[in-house]
Amino acid sequence: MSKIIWVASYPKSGNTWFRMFLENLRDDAEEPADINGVVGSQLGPARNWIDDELGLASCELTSDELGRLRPRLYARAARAASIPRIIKIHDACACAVDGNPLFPPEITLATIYIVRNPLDICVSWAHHLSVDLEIALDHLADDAFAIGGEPGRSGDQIGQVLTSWSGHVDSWLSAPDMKLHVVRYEDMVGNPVGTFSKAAQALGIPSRKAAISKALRFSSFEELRGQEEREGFRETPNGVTSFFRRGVVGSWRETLEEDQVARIIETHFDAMRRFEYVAADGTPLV
Amino acid sequence: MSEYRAYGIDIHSELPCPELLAGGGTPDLAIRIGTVPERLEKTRDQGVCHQGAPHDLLLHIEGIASYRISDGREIVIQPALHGDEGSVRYFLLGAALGVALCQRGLLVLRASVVEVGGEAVAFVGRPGSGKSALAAAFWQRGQRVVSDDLCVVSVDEDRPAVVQSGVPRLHLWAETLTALSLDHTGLQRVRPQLEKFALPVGSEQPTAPMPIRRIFAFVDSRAEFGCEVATGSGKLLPLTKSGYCLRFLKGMGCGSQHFLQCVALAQQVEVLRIWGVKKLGSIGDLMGELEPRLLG
Repeated sequence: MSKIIWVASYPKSGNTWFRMFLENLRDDAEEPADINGVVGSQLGPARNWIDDELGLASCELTSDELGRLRPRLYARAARAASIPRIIKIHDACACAVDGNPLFPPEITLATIYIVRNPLDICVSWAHHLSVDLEIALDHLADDAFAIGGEPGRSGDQIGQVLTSWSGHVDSWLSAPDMKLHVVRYEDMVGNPVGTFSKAAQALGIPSRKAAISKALRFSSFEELRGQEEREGFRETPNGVTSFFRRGVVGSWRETLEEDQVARIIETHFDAMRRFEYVAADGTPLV
Repeated sequence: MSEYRAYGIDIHSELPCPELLAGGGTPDLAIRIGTVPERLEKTRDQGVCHQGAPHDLLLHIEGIASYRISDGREIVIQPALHGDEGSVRYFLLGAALGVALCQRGLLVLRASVVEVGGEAVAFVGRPGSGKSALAAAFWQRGQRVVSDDLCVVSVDEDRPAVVQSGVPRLHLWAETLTALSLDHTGLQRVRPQLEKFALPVGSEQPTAPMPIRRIFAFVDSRAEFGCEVATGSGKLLPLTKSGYCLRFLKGMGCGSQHFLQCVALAQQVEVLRIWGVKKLGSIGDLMGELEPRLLG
């Protein structure tokens, strides 16, 4: 019996990269871990796993019914695991309709919360969904925004309520007893050894420098992109060429119009200020 | 008490089930409203929604009902205080009935089945893989729908496998109905909160069991569309993984039964694996790929 390590983030914030780093660090294998083979990435919102565990088709259940069941599913996953389970989450940290936390603190070993500049997320999200930047911007600002949950042909994931980007950040940072360790995507890129080492330490995972370096090599953007090109990636949406697109910091400067930047900063100022994405006067810092 | 016939058995039910075809005769399966225990004695396996014991299963759908299915002969339903009747019947005629049929020694697959040239053709796969949509497309082209969602097969190594006639309707999402140019206005929702509807597709009389010779298995893959005849374990795996009551088999002690039945079925039928269905543009494109293999 073990517990859960939640890897939580708004989409397009480096969640998969972080999980692949963790899997490679734990595996300590001679070859990089398969991006489609890691169990953790299957558990969070994946319908297939939920359907298999329930014995029912999750698409036959309402979102409220699923919400009540999810904490129990995760608790069972924790009980069945001999080592901590790594579970990807994009939901805001919230409670189900019965008032129970979706992500029970009592089965939580730790939570890695990854935050990324919403200016860069906007660009990345627009590409991911193949939509206009304005639509992506609206998604980031929408307090009721949700993904997944479509039945039938597009229904690989159950519904997940994200809320707005800053609402998402607040929900996780204010959640009690989740043993949070916050990581900035920009630090993962700019100072990978230091950032990932600290995170591994926070999770109680042995972190010799050589092991960290190998895990970083095996989960590098080039490695993940290469695997996707050769074998595909189960989380790449239909019609999208690549899930691992650029992985750089500050690409928003080449893409977003001035008014789009201004609107994102106005909407999400407090959270952006907290993570030093903007200065006190609203000037972008990253 | 209402009398019905479905999947080759006679059913007597205290709960009216207008979805089922009228029947008569000595009941093989009795459905009654009553009290369901909190726990089963001799529980061998349990999950979030169920407890399983030898030939006994407790299924708990919170807010809807609890169902106790015993020996394939009785289903007791204890509706929740505010459970809507449509949802109670939905899980009765799906999960609970599937368990009862499995307990009766039948092979129950998650599949939609159509008749082609006097034989049954089944489309097996995960929920949401497009089985019912494909069956609907064949129905629009004049093929008869034998059953949807539950594919009930009588099979052993000594006799040809036959599919039992099921409920004459297809459960389709609103977007699928639209894609098929079908109007869902006037159709019954399968559950009040879902945009999924029951499309009547058959006669009012149950039909005889039908031999099955071919199964199309939707498999997970990230590749472009493909279809190939499966061989060896490639035939068996899609069948074993498509068990309707897969999660519940262990507790009921039906795991070996399911496996052996799938082995016997795989020896008698052609299995074609289909993948990359989502990369096709439409159901019409899928029909274009499959129709020549089926009807040509």
